[in-house]
Amino acid sequence: MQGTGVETEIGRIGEGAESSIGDFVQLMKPRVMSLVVFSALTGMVVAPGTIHPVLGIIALLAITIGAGASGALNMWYDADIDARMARTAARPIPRGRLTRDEALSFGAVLSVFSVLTLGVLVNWTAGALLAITIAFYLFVYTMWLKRRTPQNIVIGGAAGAFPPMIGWAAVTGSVSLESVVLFLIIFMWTPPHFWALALYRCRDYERVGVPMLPVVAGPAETRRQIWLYSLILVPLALVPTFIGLAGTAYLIAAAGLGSMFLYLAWRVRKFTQGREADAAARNLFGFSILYLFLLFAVMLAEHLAMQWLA
Amino acid sequence: MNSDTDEERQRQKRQRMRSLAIALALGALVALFYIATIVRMGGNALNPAI
Repeated sequence: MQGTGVETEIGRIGEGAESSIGDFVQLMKPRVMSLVVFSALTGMVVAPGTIHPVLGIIALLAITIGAGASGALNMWYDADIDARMARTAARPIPRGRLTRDEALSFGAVLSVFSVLTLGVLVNWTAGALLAITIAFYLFVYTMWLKRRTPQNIVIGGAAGAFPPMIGWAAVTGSVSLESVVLFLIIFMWTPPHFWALALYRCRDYERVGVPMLPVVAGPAETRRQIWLYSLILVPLALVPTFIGLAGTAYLIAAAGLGSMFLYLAWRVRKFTQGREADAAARNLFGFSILYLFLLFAVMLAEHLAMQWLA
Repeated sequence: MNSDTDEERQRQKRQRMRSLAIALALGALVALFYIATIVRMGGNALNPAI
């Protein structure tokens, strides 16, 4: 199992192993959290207006912990299928280091406290958006769509798209066209990102009966849909410049990164068999993470540079 | 018998660690609210006349 260094038994939930703080951190899906906090920070920085730095840090902390709580609740609910998938069998619950009840309590308490903290100390628009995000991820994606429809990550992906909107609302107290555009960029990015992963993890999802697109509709249809979503995503990512949210540097970066994204999506469409097909899917998946990170990084850096120069 | 005692010891250790973590988290939350309240009250926070 990648990254664990030990033989991981796949198939059943383990019992009775000793837990540590690291296991609770793992419950919160720290890699997802880092992307969440970064996109929320970008939303906060590019929003018009100002926020006291202490309140800004509190907002980011609350958003991060809310995201982590969602991850813990997802691991609580999906413990049964996590135990049977190679990708997730090393998670704390399948390994027996934490029980499902512990994950549920941890996630529930963090959810409530993160929303209350954000609402009381920053504003209730941001608090409400965080509550909606957590509820959407748990009830709509994890408990309803994930095991029922191949459109699970299309609709469920909205949960991951909310953080920049929450960051924006933390500063402005409102939702606006600009924050909706930031939401839409991540929303349209989510399907090609996850379907690229699903293409080379198809057997894992098939084993546990999760109806990811490659399992239900086959790899060919999945490649086609990855291509279509990429064709929508890349021009959408240019929109911030045209609505005054970003400048020329962002436009150039988004165009360059978008070209690479389209190239890799085209390769996924072109190579349909064997190791080349797997490599194409892995490359797109890996690049998609870098793509989103760099888009937001350039937007953030450009905004800060323009403020500093003004 | 020995394994029961070991299990009980482990359970108590886990419970102590959990209690400590909860206490620290609650303390951090109190500190957070206190600091944020001072920030939100702004310049008047240390003015006893108000």
